[in-house]
Amino acid sequence: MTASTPSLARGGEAPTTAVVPDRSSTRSRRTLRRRGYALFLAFIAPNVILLAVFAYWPVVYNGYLSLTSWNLLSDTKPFVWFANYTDMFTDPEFGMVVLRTVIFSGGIVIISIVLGLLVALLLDQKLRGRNLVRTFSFAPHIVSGAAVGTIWLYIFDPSYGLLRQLLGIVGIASPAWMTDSFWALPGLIIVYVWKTAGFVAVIYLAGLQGLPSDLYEAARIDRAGPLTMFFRITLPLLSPVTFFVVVTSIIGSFQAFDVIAVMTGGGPGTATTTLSWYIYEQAFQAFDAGHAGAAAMIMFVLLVLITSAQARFTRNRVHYQ
Amino acid sequence: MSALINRFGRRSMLGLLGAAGIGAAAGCARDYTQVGGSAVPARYRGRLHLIAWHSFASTTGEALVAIVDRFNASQSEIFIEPQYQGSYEETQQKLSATLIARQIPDLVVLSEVTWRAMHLADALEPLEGYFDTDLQPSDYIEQFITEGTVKDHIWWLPFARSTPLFYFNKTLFRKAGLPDRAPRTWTEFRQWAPAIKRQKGGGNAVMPLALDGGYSAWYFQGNMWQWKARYSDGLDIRLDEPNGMAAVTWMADFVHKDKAAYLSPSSSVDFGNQAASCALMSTASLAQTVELAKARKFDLGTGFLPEHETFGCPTGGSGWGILAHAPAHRKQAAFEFLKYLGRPETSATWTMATGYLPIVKKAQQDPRLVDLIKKDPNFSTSLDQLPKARTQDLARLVIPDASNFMDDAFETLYSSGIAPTTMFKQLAKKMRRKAELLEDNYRAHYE
Repeated sequence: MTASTPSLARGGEAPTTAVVPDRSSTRSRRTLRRRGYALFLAFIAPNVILLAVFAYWPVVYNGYLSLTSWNLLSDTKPFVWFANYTDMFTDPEFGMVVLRTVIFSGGIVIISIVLGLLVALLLDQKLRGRNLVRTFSFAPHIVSGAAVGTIWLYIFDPSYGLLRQLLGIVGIASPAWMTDSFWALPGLIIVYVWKTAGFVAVIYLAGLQGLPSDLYEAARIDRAGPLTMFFRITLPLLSPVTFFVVVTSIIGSFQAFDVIAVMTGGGPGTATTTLSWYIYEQAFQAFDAGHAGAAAMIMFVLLVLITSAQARFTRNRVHYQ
Repeated sequence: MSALINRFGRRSMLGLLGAAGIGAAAGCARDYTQVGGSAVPARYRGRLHLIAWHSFASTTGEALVAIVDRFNASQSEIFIEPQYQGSYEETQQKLSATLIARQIPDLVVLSEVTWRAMHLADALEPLEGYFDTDLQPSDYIEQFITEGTVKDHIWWLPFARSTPLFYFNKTLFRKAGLPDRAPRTWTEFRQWAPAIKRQKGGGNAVMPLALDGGYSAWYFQGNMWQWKARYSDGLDIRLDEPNGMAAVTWMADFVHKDKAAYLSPSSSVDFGNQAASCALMSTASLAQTVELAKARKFDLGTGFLPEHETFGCPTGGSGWGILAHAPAHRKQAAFEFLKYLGRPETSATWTMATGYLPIVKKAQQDPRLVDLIKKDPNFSTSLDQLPKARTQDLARLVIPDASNFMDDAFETLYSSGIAPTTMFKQLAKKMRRKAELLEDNYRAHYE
């Protein structure tokens, strides 16, 4: 930068000065860019390093473990290529685990979105006490999974539980819930829906309150009924919210662990062994790092696929205003 | 938010796997060091500080700590710090993690299943060379010391040993017009079931038998032998032979057809609340159940496991191992503590506080124990049953994760409509597959 000033001061040497500042400004731009880049690196480094060490490296290392047969104890990790994967893909038990995960996630996502939207629509009315209700419906979401699980164990208890008494009023015998292979998974879905629906409702509520009122006025002039308005205006305009909620709750339910750990431990038998519990079981009960790693990779790929498929599918349908 | 929490859960788990890997990679060159302990109390300063990992909570844990305190006070060289590490399975998880990180406790409590894994991983010290005139292997009760011995090396010393026991509610039996004893055979129990179910407890029909999901394969080992069947012969899986199929079918019918037994979230809770008249529980639950029965005001009875064609009862529970990678002077000191636990008076104290079986023969003549048995005959049931109890079939003990997935199979049987024979066929298949993977290591250590 300083190089160009003396030549300008001297004057009369226009052709040289025309070249010199040009070259020097390229250089200065380069310096600037280099400096900017250094600054950029300095700012992102703490984050990138943390992510690299605690998020990306484990994924890579996990990928490596999934190709080995290691019991977490021996000094050697024999490389077995894709034996763990072929093992799991030919194991009917693993097929059941995946199917169960799909039912579990699907149940949670669909029910909590429908319920959450209904609650949001109610809360969107200008009714008294709605702030209180809003707080109440969001509360389950911030309670720790261990506490939620413990509370629901009491609610579900077939001999002493609250639900048994409620069902008793209408003359229905309580199922054994957590000790019945059929009812344990629906029971867990209920708990997770209870935990998630309030969160979904609050997100939807924010979306509802951001909707433009002129569209509704126009619709009203055209004498559209409330149902038509809901399906033709509200729902399409909420699609970005729905997209967000679907993606986060699918990922969340795939990774659900805390409540399962407290309430069923994947049981009775394997009735509530979802993919995330299966990974834990393989790693820390069976001490089989290879199978656990392979299952984790499968979960990783599944989630990437689901998310990108959703993104592609909804690209044309999501209406951003 | 739950997505965040859950994601954190998965990340941290992956992180743990990663960290374990780094530890393993970095650790190859390093020596083993002792895991972290707390500050040594002033009066024990200057002593050799040993760390003992155990799995005993609440009253049982207090009983152990009391014994350790007495040991620490009894001599001037060694200070033992007991550290509670959760269940047997959790202790095994943590031990595996610390072994990878090249950090170890000196002593560890291992169950009848988990010590086998540690032995197969060459983590345990052979102990036969440590015995002296104070304590000989022959002082221990025969089955117990034999169970910890492989190829003439002693790897695991008995401590909290138990067997399953048949617990019943005498008060309910009386009301139902049944004899004042445990059923002698399963057939007899089945005949008694309708009378028990006519009783009411808390508004519900009383269930004859509560079954636990955890350790269900341990309890069922008894049933297998009673039906003259077995899980395995060495690593050779035999459970799907006709007798085994008959045993499991009988139990499935007892659960689903007679509706006389059920999978309980906790059989001790249901038994205490008198929702179930009988339960199969460990002898280790005896001291607590005696208190429970007193509090709930019913008479507690205990009996041998019911017979079928013959009698059958497995041993279980836990013992101590010394870590092979600890330095020699620590191992020697650790054995001093195990010698203390092997004294008849220590063993008797432990038995009286917990209900675990005495581990040395002479403990059975301890006057306090003799007295207790006179006062409460329930304490003698387990002692009388002991000579007829034996080590489980090896498959459940050595096949990695077998104790878990076998429990899963029994839980599925008790809680769903699966055909018992299908369940046993699937289980046998899985066990054979896993046994095959183990074969080389098994041969190297057992043959």
